[in-house]
Amino acid sequence: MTESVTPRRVTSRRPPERNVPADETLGMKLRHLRRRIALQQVFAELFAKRWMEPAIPLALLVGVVVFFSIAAPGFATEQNLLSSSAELAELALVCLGMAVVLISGGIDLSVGSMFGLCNMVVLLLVTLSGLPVIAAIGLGLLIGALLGAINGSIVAYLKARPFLTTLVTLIIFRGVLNLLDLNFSAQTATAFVLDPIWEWFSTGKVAGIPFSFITLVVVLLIGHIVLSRSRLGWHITAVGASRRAARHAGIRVERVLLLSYVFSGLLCALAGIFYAARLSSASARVGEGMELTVLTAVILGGISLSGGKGTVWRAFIGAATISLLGKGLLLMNVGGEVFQTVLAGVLILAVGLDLKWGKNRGKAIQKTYVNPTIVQYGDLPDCRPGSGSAFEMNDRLVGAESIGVGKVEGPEDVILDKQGRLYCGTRQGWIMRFSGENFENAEIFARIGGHPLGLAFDADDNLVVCVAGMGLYAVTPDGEVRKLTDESNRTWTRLRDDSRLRLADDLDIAPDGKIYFSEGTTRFEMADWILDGVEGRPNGRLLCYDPETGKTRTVIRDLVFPNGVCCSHDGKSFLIAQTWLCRILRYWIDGPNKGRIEVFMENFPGYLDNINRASDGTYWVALNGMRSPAYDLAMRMPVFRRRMMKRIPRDEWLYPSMNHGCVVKVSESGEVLETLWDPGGTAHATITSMREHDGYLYIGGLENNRVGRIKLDNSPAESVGAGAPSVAGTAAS
Amino acid sequence: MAFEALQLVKEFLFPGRHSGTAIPPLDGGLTPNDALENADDVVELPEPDDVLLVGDSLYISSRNAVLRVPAAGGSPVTVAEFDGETGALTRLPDGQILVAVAGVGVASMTEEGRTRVVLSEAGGLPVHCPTDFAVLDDGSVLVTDGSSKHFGQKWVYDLMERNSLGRLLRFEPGGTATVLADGLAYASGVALTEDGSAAVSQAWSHRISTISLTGQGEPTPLKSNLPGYPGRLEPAAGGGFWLAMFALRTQLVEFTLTQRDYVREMMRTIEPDYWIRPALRSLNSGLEPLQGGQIRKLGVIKPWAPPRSYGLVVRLDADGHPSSSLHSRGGGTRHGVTSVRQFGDRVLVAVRGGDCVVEVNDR
Repeated sequence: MTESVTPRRVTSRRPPERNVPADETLGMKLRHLRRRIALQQVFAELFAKRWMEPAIPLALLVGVVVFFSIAAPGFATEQNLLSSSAELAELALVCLGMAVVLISGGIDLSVGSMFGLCNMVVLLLVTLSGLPVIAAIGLGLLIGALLGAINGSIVAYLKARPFLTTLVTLIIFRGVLNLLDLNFSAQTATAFVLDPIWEWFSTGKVAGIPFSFITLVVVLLIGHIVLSRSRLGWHITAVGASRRAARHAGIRVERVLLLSYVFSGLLCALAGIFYAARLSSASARVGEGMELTVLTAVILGGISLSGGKGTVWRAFIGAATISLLGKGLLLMNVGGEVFQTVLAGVLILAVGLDLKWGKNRGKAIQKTYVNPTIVQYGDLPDCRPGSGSAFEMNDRLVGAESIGVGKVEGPEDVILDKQGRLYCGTRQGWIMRFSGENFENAEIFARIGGHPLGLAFDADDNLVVCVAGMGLYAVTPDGEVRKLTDESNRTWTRLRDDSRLRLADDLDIAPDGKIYFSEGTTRFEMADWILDGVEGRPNGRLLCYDPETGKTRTVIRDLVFPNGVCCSHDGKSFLIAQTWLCRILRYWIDGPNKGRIEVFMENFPGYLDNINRASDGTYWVALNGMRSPAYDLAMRMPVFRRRMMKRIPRDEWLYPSMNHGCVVKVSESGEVLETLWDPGGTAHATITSMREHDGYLYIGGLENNRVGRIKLDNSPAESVGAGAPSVAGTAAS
Repeated sequence: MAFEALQLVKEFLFPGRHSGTAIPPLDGGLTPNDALENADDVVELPEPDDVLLVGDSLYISSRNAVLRVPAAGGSPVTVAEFDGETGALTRLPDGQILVAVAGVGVASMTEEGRTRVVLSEAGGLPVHCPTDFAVLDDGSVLVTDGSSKHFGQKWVYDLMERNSLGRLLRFEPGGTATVLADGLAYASGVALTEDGSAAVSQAWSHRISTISLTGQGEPTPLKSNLPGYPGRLEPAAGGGFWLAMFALRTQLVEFTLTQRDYVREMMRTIEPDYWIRPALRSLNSGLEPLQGGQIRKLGVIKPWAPPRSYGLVVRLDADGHPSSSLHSRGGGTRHGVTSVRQFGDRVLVAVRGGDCVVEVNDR
């Protein structure tokens, strides 16, 4: 029954990936290979990345660059690109300002006027006031911030509508600009500035790239970090997404709004300064109509007008697209209205597609997330009554006593301590404790959260718990909860970040105190654990937490749903039950075979859950469901499953047959010794765990409302459930 | 690779609205209740298929026999045994009882139990799968023949093969039979309408059609897109019909039927009991396929779980529109209703999947 597998030289080992029938044909092998490649999964995970959001605008930008490189002579030259980048920098800075305001849920129509006004003011300061250039620039920025603050205070504190407010300030700022123009611009025309800093702002280059563009890149990086990583950035996004919720969350909404307008003013001023230095054009018409270009760019970049959504990169992409479009058109010398109209059409199309993308992305990811593969099983052992097989059904569980009916919901695992008190996890995130002669006293021992699954006591009588959705936790005998670990090393070959523990499932403690625990799947949440079965891919792993160093590492990766974990009686190996493959692996942690993975038993008639040591040197295995022939067939036909998931709702999907389970006793050499069934499944439908203690077997079920107890015949009255007997055993030897 | 990506991009931009199979929800006259589950038991016996009240005796077809039970209750007595599974029963004006026998045809039976096969062939094809009778005023009989390929328990093969091999026949007991209509998707029930044509259930196409008795004209749908598989029809007192809906359609079955490669493999390698299929009863076995909504949670199977088997009696008005219904839902036991018969003010229901005959109130 055992078949050895040589481990590969990788940091964490990989098991034999699937059930391989002895007489596998080449065609079958090829089919498996074909199904192993999960392109759809790669795409689904790729598209689920946040940075894939601006995919459509980015595609448009690339399209624009490629098109003009081919169609417009002189577009793709270094000289043109460099000169474009200076113009782009100015536009992009203003776009960034607009983007911040849009993300905060407002709109700033006065950007063009602020840009023009700052341009004029800085020029006047530099040429006429005689201030040092650096002071003039500083003053220009200050004025920009001040203009933004005017907008911001009106919007935030006077609660005026952003659209009207900034429309009014647009006119006011423009009026001031006209006034300045009327009185001073004639004088600026004759002045000539010869200052190295001013020169640097106008024509300075770093490695051939204009200084303004370098500044833009720096601002983008800072902006990205502020928006996506800082408290302020999150506050801006939160206010934009839902002002009321943000207020309820304790965010000072007014201040955040004010700041976003100040940013906008500041960035407009910066752009104005670069413009002033580059062109020295003190005209009242600078920046006229700019708000429209900027709005177009920002919306094209995919920043939502309704707020709460957007990144600096999107603003940049939009600005670059618009700017390069203009430049390209200029180079092509097409003034044709037809061409412009076509371009407008392209813009509308891009915006429309981006909208669809944003709207349907989540749904599409949901639809394509589960990626069925071929799972092949051996011939289904007949377990019907009268079949005479080792798994033949009986009614030994029908008479099981019920403990805590209606008081527990979802006791996946059960365990008893030295005083004979019974512990189990519930779906509310509690650990329940039952005590008394008939376990009539129920109390909440600890509230952890998540869904506590596998349980074990360590040498100091701490209850170590695998908590789905949270990680590995320990509860002291006083009921104090402590986190042991919630992360492991990330698998770099996976697109999806799997460093956080998603579904810690079952654990056992090795003689040296290391805690080995399984994570069933890294792709699905607890509520969706059966979907991992419908998918059938190796998404799980075995982890090891070392209490001495506090470190967690992945021991075996790419396991198909490892569920039960149990240290062998001699403490030299671990048994790992793989639910969807219906088999048990043995992983050697000590002795001559150290590091080897073997198939211990395979082809069970049902899906395996927990494994525990029995008092007589054997093991108890829980089957949480039975293999139904129709589902076995569907597992061989991934396309069928994929279509099913696409076409019919989830409640109607074909599931593994989870309403009928049993408990199996297996020997150290991998033989089935006895089975305990509840054929009707009325009391114990899904059996996920069992624990032997003092001549009784206690039964837990993930979906059940009770813990079962049955007296075992001819069983020595010795506790095996509490503590880790193998620890003691090994220590003694 | 490019294709997969393209497909996915398409999915992202224009998420597919699959036309799919729209199964109408159970509402209006079909709003679920527990009336059938709570109805009064008349007699319990294995797999009753049809029931007939003659005087104060009930004749019930069960497995290969017709049994007689005192209407007031009591133990069943075998009246006659046949070479195939017995199904529909009806009483001719001369007192003889017609029995549909799967694989044999139509037999007549006297009240003492003397039997004779009266119809075994029509239009050159054997009448293997008689499913229901309607007696005309002139003494001739309408009989629906479900399929010319499968009969008895193998009706599910006919569904899986998506056959339309059913017929409506008319015959004089002892005389020859004429084919009034063929190509019906499992003709599973017949009753006379008020205007003198026949209303016929076509189970696999989920509809009830009217067919003219002249043998001319196509079947015209009376009620289509029923949420289940319609079976026997019985004229109801006060107009309209009783309809025995022997199973409900589920999205999984409807979907599976379109996946021919899966169905082929399933029929080749798996026992029919464990197919993805509608059934007259749930075996409560782990070998049966399970659907997401059927998982037992906290000790309970939800009544709205997708039904592998279901108990449903429908009262249709004369237009074929459901006006009221009696249900036995998920988690219940009275599933697989094969027959509803009205005798005066008594309405008897043969619940084949629940191994009992129950009486319901005609409100």
